[in-house]
Amino acid sequence: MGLNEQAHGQDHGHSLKAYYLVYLLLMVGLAATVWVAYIDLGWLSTPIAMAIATTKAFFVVMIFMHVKDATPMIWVTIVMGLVGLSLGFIFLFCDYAAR
Amino acid sequence: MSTQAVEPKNYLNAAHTVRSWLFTVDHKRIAILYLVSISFFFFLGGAAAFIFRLDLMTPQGDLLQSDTYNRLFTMHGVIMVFLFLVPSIPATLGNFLVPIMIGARDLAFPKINLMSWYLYMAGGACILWAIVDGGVDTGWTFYTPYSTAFAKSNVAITLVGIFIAGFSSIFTGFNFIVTIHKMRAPGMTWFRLPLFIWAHYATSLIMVLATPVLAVTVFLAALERLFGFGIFDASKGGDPVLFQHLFWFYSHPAVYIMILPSLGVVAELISAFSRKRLFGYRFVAFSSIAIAALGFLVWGHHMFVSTQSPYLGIVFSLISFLVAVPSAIKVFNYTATLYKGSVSLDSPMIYALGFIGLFVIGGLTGIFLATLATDVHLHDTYFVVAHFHYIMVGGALMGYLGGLHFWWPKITGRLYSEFWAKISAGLVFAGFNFTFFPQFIVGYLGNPRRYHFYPPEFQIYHVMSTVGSTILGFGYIIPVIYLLASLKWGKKAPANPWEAKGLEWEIPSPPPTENFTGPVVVTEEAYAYPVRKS
Amino acid sequence: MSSDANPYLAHHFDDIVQQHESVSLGMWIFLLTEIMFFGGIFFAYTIYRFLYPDMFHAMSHHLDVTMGTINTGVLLTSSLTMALAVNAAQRGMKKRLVTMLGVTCAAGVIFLVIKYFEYAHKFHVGSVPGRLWTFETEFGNQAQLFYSLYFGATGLHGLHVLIGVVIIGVLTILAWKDKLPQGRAQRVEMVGLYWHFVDLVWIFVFPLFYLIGRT
Repeated sequence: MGLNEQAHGQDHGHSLKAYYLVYLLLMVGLAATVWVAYIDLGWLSTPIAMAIATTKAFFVVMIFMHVKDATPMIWVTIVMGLVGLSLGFIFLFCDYAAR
Repeated sequence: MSTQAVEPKNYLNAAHTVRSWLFTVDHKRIAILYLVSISFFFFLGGAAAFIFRLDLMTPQGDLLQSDTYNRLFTMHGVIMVFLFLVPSIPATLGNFLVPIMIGARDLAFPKINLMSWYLYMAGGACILWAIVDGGVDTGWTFYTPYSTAFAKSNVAITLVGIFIAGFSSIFTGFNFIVTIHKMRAPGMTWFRLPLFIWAHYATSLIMVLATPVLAVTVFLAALERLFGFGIFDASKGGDPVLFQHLFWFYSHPAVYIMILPSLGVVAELISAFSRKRLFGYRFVAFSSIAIAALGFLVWGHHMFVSTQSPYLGIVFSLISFLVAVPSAIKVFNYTATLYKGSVSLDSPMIYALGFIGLFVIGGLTGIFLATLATDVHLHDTYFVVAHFHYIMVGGALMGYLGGLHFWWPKITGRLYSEFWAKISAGLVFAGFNFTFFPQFIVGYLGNPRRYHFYPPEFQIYHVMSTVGSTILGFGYIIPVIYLLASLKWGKKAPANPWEAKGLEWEIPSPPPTENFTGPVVVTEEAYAYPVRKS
Repeated sequence: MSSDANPYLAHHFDDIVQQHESVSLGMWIFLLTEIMFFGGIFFAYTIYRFLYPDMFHAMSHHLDVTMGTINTGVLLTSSLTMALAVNAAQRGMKKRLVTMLGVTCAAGVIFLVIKYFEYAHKFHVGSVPGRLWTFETEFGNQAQLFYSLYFGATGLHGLHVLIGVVIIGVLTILAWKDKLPQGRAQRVEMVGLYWHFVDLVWIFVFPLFYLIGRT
């Protein structure tokens, strides 16, 4: 998404073109999510659904929420959130899987 | 900055109306608001404890009915954990000192700071209401299914109170993180920060990462209680143990919310009263972060005897042992600081030294409990009660009192009676040990916690414990008297009564509203006491 | 303490850059707490879906995919308009700011209205866990677990949407009354972050609840 090199001054944020592109992508992602749900992919269907959701989330975070150009501290904050989340998932899952 | 005019302007005499206090955005005034409110809850929780301790003098609990007994120990736990220990040092001393110590004029978000106090009061009001309306009998842990399905007491409103109070702690935490990151004065690098700040930084990380999980857990439990949702309900396929998981995901790190600020206070005290730079500064700083990080990986040690997988239990047990490493680093470095220091035994230092001893006992007994096999025997006995009181009261509270005495002249501009301060410090130490050491023994002998009745052969330990708690009670009431008296009759405090290092001692006592009258530039390390030749 | 007297600079910050960085870091830490907040529900979801996959698949069929899809589209669109609003605020384009905030607010309202119809249907057929439960399935009482999670997750999310709608509504009025000049653009930006986060949660809630076991 290297579309916002111009117009990214201090106050102007991203170029609008990038926003429209991301929006298009989100809508395609939405269609894909629903479409994929009705195809029999066996055990893969949830991982694929999550992969699509994560991709959508990635673009929202990077472009709409301007994290692409954010300070390192904000990256660290986000990573901390992901680490905190994964701790919960990992330990809880280990418990229930090993009972 | 030491111009002593007739009536120098400070944050206390800046305005006198009630409105100027209730709508203040000055971090120092908010700290005072917090100080008054947490003291109120502390004595309320303490009174509950004292009453059921009296009841435990006899094996068959002659004073109270069992139902009342259950409600009293729950009240004690809920108030002390959520309304006293969690906010204690951060919301009072931290609120007051974090901006000053880093050379800032206020916290980054003064209005959110005020809002956090109002949330705290709202949460406290809910919990008070629940108590006045008959109380709660689930224990402060609210384990399901008892709390959601069977308890006939005010569980829901208490959960709402905890939910709200949780947000006050989240807001304190995120205010501190942003402040410490963004508001440091020029020259105040990370490794020049006082260790009090490092401790608060680590604490704030836990506050923002763990507290939301508690919030959502009590939210789900309240939905289950009020509307019959089924997330923890076994009759609907839910798992009550999942509640324990989510609860301890917060509540174990919360233990470090309580103890880390206290460790930070003690670092300041030890250094100031040994007149020496703290030994191993960087190790102590990073051990705070290490404790905070490891704190997230050990919650399962509260659940060894639940249906939690024993394999995961082994993992949790091993990681729990690791917490001993950064804790020991702190204790060793504090002790090493004393070596060849010119130690003076002022009252804050007595608290600090008491802290070290009690924290070591509390920490080492924690190792017993983190061991899978011994925990099966010791789980839910008085041994556990004694262990965490050594950390929470012997540790967190001693640190809080030490810090309160140390910074009292700065906060109020008055000196208190050192004589009475030493007496009460001695009473607290003696009374505390008298109260809780017998509980290690009686717990090891197999007396379960939270039981109203116990076999007659345990009576001697319980009587000792009750007598000790009476002494402890005096140790807490005396400071209230002489500290309040100091406001009226105490001598005016100079800017630096302890001749300690640190930005807070370079400004007048009490500080002016915006803390510093001119720009602050930091040019030296923390604790830059003169080095003595040995 | 800087020489330029910026009217938007709060008294305790040294300069506007420090203020901006502090506010945006603060907002991100708040979002971090929100991640953990919703995390609790996703933890429960993961465990129970792992324990009862068949029940989850069967219950998911009772949710309305059409309404869910429309709602997702509405939220994604509102995210775009919010991003455009932030941009307009930063450039000081008042008219466009008011329009974009208004559209975002309206989208939030539409989302809630559709959610209302979904909820009303569940009350109607008795698939609300607890006392109102009359829903008959082969999974019996266990099915309540799915709906507890569903109402927990979408309820909390809906609450966030509601809060967002109120805040954005207030912003719209402020912008309309010229109270949101360029110097205050960061307010819009921070609300935008919150709104995008609400959108993010839905991006995960939608497939996890509405779209499992559809084949």
